[in-house]
Amino acid sequence: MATSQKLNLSAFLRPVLNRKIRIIRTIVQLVIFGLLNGLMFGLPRLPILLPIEYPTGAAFSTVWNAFEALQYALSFWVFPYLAISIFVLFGAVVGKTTCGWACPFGLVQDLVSYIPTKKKKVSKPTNVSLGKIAIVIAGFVIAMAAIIGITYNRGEINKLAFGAGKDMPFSTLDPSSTLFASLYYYLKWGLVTDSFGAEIGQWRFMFILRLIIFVIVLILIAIYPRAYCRWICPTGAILGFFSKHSLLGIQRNPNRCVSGCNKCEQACPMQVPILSYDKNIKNKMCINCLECVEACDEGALKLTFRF
Amino acid sequence: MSARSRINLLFFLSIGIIFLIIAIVVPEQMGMYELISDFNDKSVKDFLSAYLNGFPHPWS
Repeated sequence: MATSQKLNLSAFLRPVLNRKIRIIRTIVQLVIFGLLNGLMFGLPRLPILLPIEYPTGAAFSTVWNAFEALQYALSFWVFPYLAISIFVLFGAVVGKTTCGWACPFGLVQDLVSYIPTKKKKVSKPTNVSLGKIAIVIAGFVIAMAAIIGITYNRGEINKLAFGAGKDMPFSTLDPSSTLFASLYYYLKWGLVTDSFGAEIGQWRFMFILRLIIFVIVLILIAIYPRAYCRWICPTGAILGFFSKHSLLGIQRNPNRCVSGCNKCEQACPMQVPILSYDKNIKNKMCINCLECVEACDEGALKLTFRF
Repeated sequence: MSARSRINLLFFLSIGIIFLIIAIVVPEQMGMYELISDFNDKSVKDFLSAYLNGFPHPWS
């Protein structure tokens, strides 16, 4: 009797035990999301930068978004030493682990991936090509912030010509800012007042545009897991530049990987071609989420410091 | 890890540490990020315009 109950319990817990790394990761993501919203719990706001997609201007945010800090400094014609050092150090030491374990928009993408829609994958060359969109976006935004900075340098008043994007051009359209800041402020200031119906008619082009972008991104990530991370996110694109040679990363043991079952590549949400690497997985898209480690029955993959 | 990867890693780490020291030593740099540490202050509400563009009456 006791044995059969034990068997039933282990059968019941098997799906949970099989996905224990994912469960741990989700818990870590939720805890970090709570800490990032620390103002809600009485934590102080800190002048700390993190390379994650979470708006600095979110109502309860405790830290700075490094990419916004980079834009903000450049737009005032101040060289962004701190923001660059954060990107370089995080990228070189832990790679894109922050994307997989700490980024709130990454958490949103993981949660959206639970929606039971038919998930699609693109071919490996297409995945690489689409990844270049993020690099173009990052380059364009940095160039734009520098242009705003030059304008500011010539006269403070000139900067106003850039409208809402005068301090941080990307944040005016960023879906993460739409979700965590804009929609929150709208709910607070728009819906709470009695005049919501009257205010709908006053919505302007930019707000509607950013809502449309947000909805498109939501649909995209529901079909293609972590699509925003892979193809659009400028923070991830900058981190990826340094993460290829990061200290912390996934290592593959070719002696153990004998069956070539491909389960790791199937499990990878970033579509990293894991089997094409001999030992160290040096791919700018890898977020160290450990889905591949969990999927590997042969224990051929592990997260390690590789120096 | 290959020698090339090690050189790249050490180069990135050195750049990161040097830039971090500059950011801490130069007061203008730290002041930049501490400037808007309190979003309730009226003087920093303008910063939020990046998130609120197109809103009907954000401050009302």
